[in-house]
Amino acid sequence: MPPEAFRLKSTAELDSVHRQLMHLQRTLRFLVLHANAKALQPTSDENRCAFATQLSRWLTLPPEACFYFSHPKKQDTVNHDIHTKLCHVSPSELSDGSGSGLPRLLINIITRACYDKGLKKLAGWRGMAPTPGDPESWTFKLKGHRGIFGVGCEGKRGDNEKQTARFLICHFPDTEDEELVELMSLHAATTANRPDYLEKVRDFACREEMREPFLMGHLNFSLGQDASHLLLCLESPLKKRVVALDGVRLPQGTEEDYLVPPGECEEDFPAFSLASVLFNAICAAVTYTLKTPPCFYRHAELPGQVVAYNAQGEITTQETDEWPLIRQTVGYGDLSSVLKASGPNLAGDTIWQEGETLPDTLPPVIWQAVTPDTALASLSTPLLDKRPQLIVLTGFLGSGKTTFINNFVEYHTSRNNFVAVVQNEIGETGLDGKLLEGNCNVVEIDEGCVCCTLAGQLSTGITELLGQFTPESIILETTGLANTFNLLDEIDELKELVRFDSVTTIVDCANALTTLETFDVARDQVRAADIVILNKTDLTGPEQTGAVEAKVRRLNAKTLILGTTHGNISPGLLYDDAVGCNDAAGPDASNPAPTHGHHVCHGEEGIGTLKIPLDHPLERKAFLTAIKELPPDILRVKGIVRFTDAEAVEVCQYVGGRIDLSRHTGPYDKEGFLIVIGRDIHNQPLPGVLYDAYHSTGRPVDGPHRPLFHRCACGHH
Amino acid sequence: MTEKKHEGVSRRDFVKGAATGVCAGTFATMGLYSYSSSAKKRLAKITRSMKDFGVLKNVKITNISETSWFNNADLIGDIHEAGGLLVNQYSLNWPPFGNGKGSAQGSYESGIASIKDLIPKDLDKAWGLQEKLSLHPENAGGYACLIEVEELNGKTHKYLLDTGWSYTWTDAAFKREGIDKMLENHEIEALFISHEHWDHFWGFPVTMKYDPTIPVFIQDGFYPEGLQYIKDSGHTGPLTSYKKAVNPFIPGMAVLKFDVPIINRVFGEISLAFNVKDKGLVLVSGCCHQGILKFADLARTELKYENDRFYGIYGGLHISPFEDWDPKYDDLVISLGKWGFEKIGCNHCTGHLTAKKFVEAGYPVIRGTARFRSSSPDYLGNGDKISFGA
Repeated sequence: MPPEAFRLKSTAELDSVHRQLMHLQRTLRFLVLHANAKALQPTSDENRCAFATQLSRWLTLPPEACFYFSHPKKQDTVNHDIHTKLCHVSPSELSDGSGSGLPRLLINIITRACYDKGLKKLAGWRGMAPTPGDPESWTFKLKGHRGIFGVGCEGKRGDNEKQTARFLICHFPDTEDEELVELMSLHAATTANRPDYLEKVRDFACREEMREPFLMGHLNFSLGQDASHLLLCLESPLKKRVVALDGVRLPQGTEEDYLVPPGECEEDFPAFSLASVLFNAICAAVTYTLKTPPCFYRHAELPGQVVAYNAQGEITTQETDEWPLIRQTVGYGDLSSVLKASGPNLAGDTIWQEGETLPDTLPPVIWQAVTPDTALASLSTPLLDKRPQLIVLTGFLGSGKTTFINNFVEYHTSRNNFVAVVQNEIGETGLDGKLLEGNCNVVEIDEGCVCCTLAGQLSTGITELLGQFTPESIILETTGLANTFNLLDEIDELKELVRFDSVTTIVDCANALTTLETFDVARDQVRAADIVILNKTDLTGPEQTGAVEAKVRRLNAKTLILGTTHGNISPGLLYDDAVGCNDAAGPDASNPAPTHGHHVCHGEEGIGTLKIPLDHPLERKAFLTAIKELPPDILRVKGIVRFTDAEAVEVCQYVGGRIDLSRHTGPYDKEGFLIVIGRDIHNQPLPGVLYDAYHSTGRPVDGPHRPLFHRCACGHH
Repeated sequence: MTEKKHEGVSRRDFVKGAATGVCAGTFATMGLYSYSSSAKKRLAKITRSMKDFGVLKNVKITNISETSWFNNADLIGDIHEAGGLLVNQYSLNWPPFGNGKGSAQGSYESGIASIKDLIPKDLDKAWGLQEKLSLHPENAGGYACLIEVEELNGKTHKYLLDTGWSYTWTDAAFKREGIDKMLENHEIEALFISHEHWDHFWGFPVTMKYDPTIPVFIQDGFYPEGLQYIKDSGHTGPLTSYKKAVNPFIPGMAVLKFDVPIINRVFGEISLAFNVKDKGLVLVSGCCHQGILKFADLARTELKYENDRFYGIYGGLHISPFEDWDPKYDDLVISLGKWGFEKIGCNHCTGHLTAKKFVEAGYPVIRGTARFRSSSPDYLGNGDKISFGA
């Protein structure tokens, strides 16, 4: 059976595939563990990359889930010196042995590990907030999950052997994630729908009503007094299940009017699968900190509990084997200490320990890429797209591009990120030199307009910039008069250097109606945009802002529109790699809500672009058919298309399975083209005319005569 | 999950209705979430210990220098080139620990070897030498401030928080504010090093040049290189390394310690808290890597202060090492607002636009004069002063 068959598409499918998946995961993890234990020959980066991609696909998990096991190590120089490795993160209280330093140790491990942006990305850490009023609780956001995770210390202790801290793990689903919210208790679902929900999530640790309904499990964190071992143990029910024996009636309903019919589940939540996301991310940070993978792993299934209550409020609990309590233990350090500290193994447990070898029957593909002597950094290298993110910033003269850049730069500077700005009209836009000075690098591109004259200068400029600096983001600020489509045409040539993120267009709300009416270029800037920022909304009433938004929407039905004043908008709301990305893989990512949410993310590994030159007009029907057949991994298509049935070229915007064609109003005398953006782009099957167009490029026979030829073919000649 | 639609009211609609109050209270009595045994468990309740650390009359702060470096691109560029945020700061090949071998090839030993005989006496020559050996020596500035405290009985004290980076820049800034003379006259009673970072600590020989006997206060997160630098700079006075979180210093003044990992292999930061008579608590930080939320939280939990009110704050107000999880939540602006400070003097790593946002949000930001290379009047800039209390 192809492994893809187990890919989870939505939470609703959890029920049917969950157990099967669990089994698969366990088996595969087991294999990985074994693979890891075996000393292997080093292989190429490419192999490692393929390995991780494949593994994460097979596990239907992001790479971080198996990451803490796939960290390579030298068999002969395993360093068990936990104490030394913890010296960069150990709080002073740790030495008193009482366990009181463990919560701080845990958060320090995560914090420090995330200073390595590779680890941060791989492990999926996306954001963190300390809980006000409780120094030992935090909320986190993790890649691929729209909800928020809460971790809070429940208790600490120390004895002769070890110090231990116990944390609860909560998950607060995103209110919009209705499928997930529906699986929660009525109480939790109601809470999640209240307007003050997120505020309460922030200080969940101080609010009883925010804990139990959202509880997913517990994490035990223990450290040997002699630092000989470190254990992480996750306890979480496969399902958190509560049965309403007599049902739950609608308050104003009739006798038969049930919200939860008698005997059905009021709550039926996949607790373990969510808790383990956090657990895996924590383990990845621990592996990173200790610079050595775990030496012990155990997956145990204990009898679970099903809670039931009746109309009188009497509560009964019943043990069940069907929905077990899962206890996963990951041990680091000296194996004998770990074995001693982790307690007895029981029949049926899945156990692996350091030194055990891999059965010969296993296919080699899983472990081929795990090398014994590569550093963590080199493992992560091929997995990560190290190209800087390229944001194309457009906007009519005076729309507020410079203010936007200033905000963007400070946002990233405060996060130790490095931004470079490429401008093609230095001095002309009145860039505030004082404010920008020292915060980013401005590379001047000769001959004024990047977008009009390009001809290799843009890539020269970017190459030059990357020769001197290693920015994480590049903003390409185009002249206010530039036609962005001319620029998009060139983006494909830059793909080796940069990771094209998006086109952001700033619209000056106060003048937009006139500008958009008068200038083709202004309209095209909006058409080309992935994100439109309506700036200076303070200068216009809500009515005019609404009118501008409507106008923008008419020009570009697919763009994300956000309003602001003084260019002050959190880049986290706009771009990938920031916290707001809602996110990762999955159909949701490519389907942003019209006026809120997030544009399509391109920062995930393996997202690339492809240019399809269209040197002849296409038949509209054939084109639309091909677009409909695009595989789901194609996230976006944009460009300029000439059709056989129309004089003017048309702007094509394809996002989330929907196509939008509109007339291109500006002058356009070049050939059409499409920029295709998607995952694993070069292995995606291009349907119909798109395939033909892509593969016909460069053939001598498809020279300048082609348009004529095609016109002949479709009967107009 | 089975479909839960009944008579036109779906579970989804019901929940939304209940949330907005339409069906409020319908199942509140059912105790729906108190059925499991773990519901009985409580998270540790945080009790405020409210330690009485005394009270003082006023605190006055003179910004000697808040411009730690002048070009962020060069700074972050160097860090990235060397391998990122976890690279040991002593290996970056920044002055005064340059060895001429370029990015990431530096070390404390090889760097100090070139200037050991010159510090702390001949700082110009030492720095001049380092200008040839290190990366971007022109980029170095430094962070330092003078804290003047008056006790209730009228007794006054002077302290230094941090000691800059560039020898030449820091020395000039000291002379501009008269710090050199104060040190020579032993008027300054202590030097606190907020954390081991280059811009707060590497100008250490400048203070030693004028007063090598000054008591120095650090925390136990210092690395061996830093401890050696204190020695190599000719310090002969007492050295105290804080281990505890809360350390009363004089009546009304406490040193708070935070065990936090900081970029480029630095661990721990100390910040200062002052209890100003009739006003409230004043917090002073170097960079506040622990995050303003954590700083204020610890102070609130541990200390007893006038009117139970936060009165003032000064220094670099660093965002927490992580970004928040909600991009709509402007964490620094919102969290600072929550504490209700009445006087805010911010600079250094706060961010110009963030400072501007404080102003726009109506926070009582004491504006500066943008002199001596401080670039924004929203910052309490180099040479500017702020005072708290009568």
